[in-house]
Amino acid sequence: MYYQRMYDREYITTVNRFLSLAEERWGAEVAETLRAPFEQIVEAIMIVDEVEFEPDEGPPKRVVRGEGP
Amino acid sequence: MNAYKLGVCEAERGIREGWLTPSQLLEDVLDRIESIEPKVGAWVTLDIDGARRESERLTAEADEGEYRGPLHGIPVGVKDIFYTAGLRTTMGSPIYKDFVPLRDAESVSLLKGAGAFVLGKTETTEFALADPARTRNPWNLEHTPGGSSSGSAAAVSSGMCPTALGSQTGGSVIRPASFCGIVGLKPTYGSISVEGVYPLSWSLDHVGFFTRTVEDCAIMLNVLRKEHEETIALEPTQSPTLGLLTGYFRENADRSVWEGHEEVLGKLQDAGATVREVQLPKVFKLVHAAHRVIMASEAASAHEVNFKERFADYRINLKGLIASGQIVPATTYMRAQRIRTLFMEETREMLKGLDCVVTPSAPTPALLGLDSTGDPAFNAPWSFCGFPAITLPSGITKKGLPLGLQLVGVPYSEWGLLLHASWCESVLDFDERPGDPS
Repeated sequence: MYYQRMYDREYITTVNRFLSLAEERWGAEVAETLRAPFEQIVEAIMIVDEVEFEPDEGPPKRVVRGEGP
Repeated sequence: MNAYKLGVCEAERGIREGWLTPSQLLEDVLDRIESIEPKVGAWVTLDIDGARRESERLTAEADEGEYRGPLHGIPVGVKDIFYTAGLRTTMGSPIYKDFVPLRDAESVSLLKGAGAFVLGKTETTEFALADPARTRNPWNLEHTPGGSSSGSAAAVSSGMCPTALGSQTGGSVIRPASFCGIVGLKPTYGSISVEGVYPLSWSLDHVGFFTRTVEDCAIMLNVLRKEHEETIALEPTQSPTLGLLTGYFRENADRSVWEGHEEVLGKLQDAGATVREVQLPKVFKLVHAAHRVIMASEAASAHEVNFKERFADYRINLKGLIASGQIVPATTYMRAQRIRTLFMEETREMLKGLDCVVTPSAPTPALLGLDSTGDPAFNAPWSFCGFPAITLPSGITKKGLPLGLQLVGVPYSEWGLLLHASWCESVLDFDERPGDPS
């Protein structure tokens, strides 16, 4: 899938790609401050994307009033 | 009189019994603020004239035997991301430095309806994320009070108000309450309205609050959940069955924190609690990553317009979160939401047969310096699944900083959780308060 091709590459390459986009948009000084958060989000994305779900597993829902212990 | 030392219940009792008036309470609190606020820095805006007017009105009503509700005459602090009608609400950001809402957040409105009045707005980190406010910890001014509800926690801890509103998306109520040696409650997701509270992440944002005792916490919950008919009787008849979470929590806690935690559990066991070690859900290892994905994506959406138009006015942490949230694919966001559902289900299973699980409230005591508000890692899982959590002070480190005990229960089990917290509170008998900051 498209997003897997985007994120399944070398971790550092992905971060650097986002950093160069950030540099284009906001300049080098700002982009450098974004390195840590980009590293964190790319790592988080890779962790989350590795999970295998059953098709009906985990649809979003709110917590509901439950039986107390 | 030193009425500033009174908690919500004690002050309310005084007002009803006639040995304290709302005006006397306010004046004592204002004296306290005058003496320590220059050092602590808990308030963004104080509404002294408005508070005096309102307290006089409430005093006159009490003289006539009329009481608006269980908070009649109680001054409250409100975190500066909650809308307050006619009172500046800055969100901790220059973008909103002159913003004056026309209406109250629903939670503020409920407090006022129960007889409380707003004393002022408390310091928050920028938009309730991680860029620190100027507030210092009343226990030691060189240390952070935690965040993001920094001012609310410091104000309650130091006697500048008996209770205050806060919010939690990661650990923004439980952690500052723990760092400041007071009680903090983050109720079940969605059970207190977030209407009129500036959003950080819709799936994770909770309204919570700070008090000095568990009993005071029950009054606040009663009002904010509109459960006026519910009887508040925190008289535990049975010692609780507590689930001890080790693994991740033991590995990531400071040595002083974990040693303090074991000591606390020993005291609770000696007093009759059953402590049973439980395994974390399998999906727990994904929780922090999924929490970050959701928070970053939703913050990017909540701030989309301001971020485009006022980029330079954002500080470094929030700038990073929003910019990183803009690159999360929609499918990854939905995966994170599915992980959240699985964690809810597995956590509910984990809690079966237990009254609640317990952990230290934070991996460390309040950190030295004001550059960081500390680590929310021990609280974020419960913000992620939306289960209620409470912290109560449990001891003091050798350096004189408070430690907290966090209790977590199933959704909507707050009254049970308060009962167990009350039992723990009476066993631990923690009655230390910060001295006058110097």
